[in-house]
Amino acid sequence: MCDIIWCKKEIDGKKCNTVNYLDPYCFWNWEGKVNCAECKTVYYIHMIQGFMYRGPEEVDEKPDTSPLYADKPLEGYTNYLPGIEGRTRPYECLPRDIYLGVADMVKFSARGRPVRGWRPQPPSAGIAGSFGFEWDIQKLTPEVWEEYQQKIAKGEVGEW
Amino acid sequence: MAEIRDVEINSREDTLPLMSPEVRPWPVTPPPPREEVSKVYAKRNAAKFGEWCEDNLRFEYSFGKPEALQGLKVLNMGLYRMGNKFCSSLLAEAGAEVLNIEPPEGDPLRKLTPFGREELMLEDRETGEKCGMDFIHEMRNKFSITLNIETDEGKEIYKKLAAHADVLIEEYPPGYMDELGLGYRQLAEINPKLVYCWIGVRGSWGPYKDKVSKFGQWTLEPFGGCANSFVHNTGFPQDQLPRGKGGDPTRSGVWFADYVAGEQGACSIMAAIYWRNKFSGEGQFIEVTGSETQMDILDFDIGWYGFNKSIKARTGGWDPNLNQYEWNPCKDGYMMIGGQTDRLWYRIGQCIERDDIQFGRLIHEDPFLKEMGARNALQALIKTYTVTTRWLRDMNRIEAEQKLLEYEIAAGPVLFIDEVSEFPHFKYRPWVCTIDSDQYGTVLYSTSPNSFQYRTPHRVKWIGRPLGKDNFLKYLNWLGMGQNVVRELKSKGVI
Repeated sequence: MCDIIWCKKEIDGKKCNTVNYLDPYCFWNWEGKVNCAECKTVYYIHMIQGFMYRGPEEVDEKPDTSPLYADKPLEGYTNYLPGIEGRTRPYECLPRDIYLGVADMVKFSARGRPVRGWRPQPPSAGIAGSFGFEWDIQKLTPEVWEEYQQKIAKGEVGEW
Repeated sequence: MAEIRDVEINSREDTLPLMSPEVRPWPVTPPPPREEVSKVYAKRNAAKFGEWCEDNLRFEYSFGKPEALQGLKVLNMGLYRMGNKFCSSLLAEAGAEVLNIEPPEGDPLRKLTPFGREELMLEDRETGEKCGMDFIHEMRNKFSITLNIETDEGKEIYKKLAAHADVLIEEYPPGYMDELGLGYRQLAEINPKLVYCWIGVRGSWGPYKDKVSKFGQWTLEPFGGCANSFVHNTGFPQDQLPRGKGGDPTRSGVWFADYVAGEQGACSIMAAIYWRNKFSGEGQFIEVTGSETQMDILDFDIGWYGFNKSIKARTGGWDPNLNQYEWNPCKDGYMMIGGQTDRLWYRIGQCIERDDIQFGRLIHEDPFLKEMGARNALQALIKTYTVTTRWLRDMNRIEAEQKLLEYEIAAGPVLFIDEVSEFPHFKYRPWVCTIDSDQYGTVLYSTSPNSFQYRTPHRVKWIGRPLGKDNFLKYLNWLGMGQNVVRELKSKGVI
């Protein structure tokens, strides 16, 4: 796309105000129904060469697809990352274990240091989300922090 | 210059003779004059350096300069493959004397043409024999001789040729030449200084060397590209374009693994020649394979997998390491925009914001996107490129390029081949050029990228060679065989 759907649906007297991003390669020429990631209102759209030829029109039907990403600029840019069920589309940049349905949690690198993004990541990250530059392990995942402290105590953390 | 004449077109048939550059002029518009380009140099205080480059590096001047590999004698063997052809092209462009040896019936590659369409082949003016563009393009500066190496006499002649050669490039199925008694082990006894380079797809040894066929390995390029993850990693992710709608693994339009193997083969040959001449006096056996050499240029995929088992996803036109660094659709095609640092990031934004104020609200003001490292995250790419493409959909490539260049941002259109041929920069250098040949007329081509050298530029002297054209000349030169002997052998099916 090429375009966004800025959802203005009123819910409980408050506007939804979620920006749903319709990614260019999927939606450049596309007709169908897509849901809002926040309020799940379904919109019919018809895109031709990146332009919204028709829509978004609210319809009472099931969506064909979801946006890959959505956020709320008016509320501190809180967002929905790719791969949140019922809200955003999955993005399968996944290790083979996860293709096969077996989750394998890698928390530490070959040096024994905690790695920044774990698989599987917490639900807030979506299936293949990635975190920002700073990943405060102690605050965000205290259990990994605890395990890290134990590893340090056992001398399993490499210096290099 | 093409003559102007009246042409009546009633059917597609009538258009076929009009496809040659002799009829359809190239370039359609002339390249910019030198005075104009001088101003470009002056802008960066590079007037003198620019002049020096022009006076010394233009490829037209290469023909008055010596060739680096003059006197190097190379034999090229291989059927239906591009690796050996490209490898020997590189050496031939640098001045080596390359004999392309084909069986008397010719390399089937000569008949290769898109969709089997004969009208896209070029016709030899003397014999009327048609030859595919692939083959013509890679027969650069090469002589063509024929030899049936499966006959006893042919084997003897082949050994004599190898006795005089510095380099032998071979791309037959693994072990085939050795089985005939013509492999490196046998030839090295005759000529210990021989540098023998075998180019393959998976290797001449190892458990899968004959995997595909009981008759020997099918040395087909796609098995290389498929085996090293190149095909899996190329194209769009199914998450962006559903399976069957474009989000599928994609092969390259050319036999990419073959070409990479050829290039690496040429590099290994040069190193082996240096070592032979400078230190040991010995030749050696070199093996390069398409799957492995191409793997060598697939950057971090394997390291990433080794790190935490990640399988690199296809990201299509988007670079997974940088934001912005992508091509996205626009009105008349696709537009490449590049820039990662804050300096470029905000320039791109300023440019887009001029037309689309919301870009600032959605992109610049998002605190997550202010961190240079953070904005490489997948969701950041999706968001940035969606809003960028909303701007691009309104304009053609040239408009987008002009707008972005005003802000000194790396931006360029994704060019079609006709636009490449008319790209003022390439016409000016000229890198795209035409070459005249006795056999095939005028052919549009791109000259050797190694042409731009000061002392020993590489050069293309001719492209395309009819089958066996140099039989008389080269058998006389190399082996002292007279014309009558060659004729006799030809009648026996040896040559």
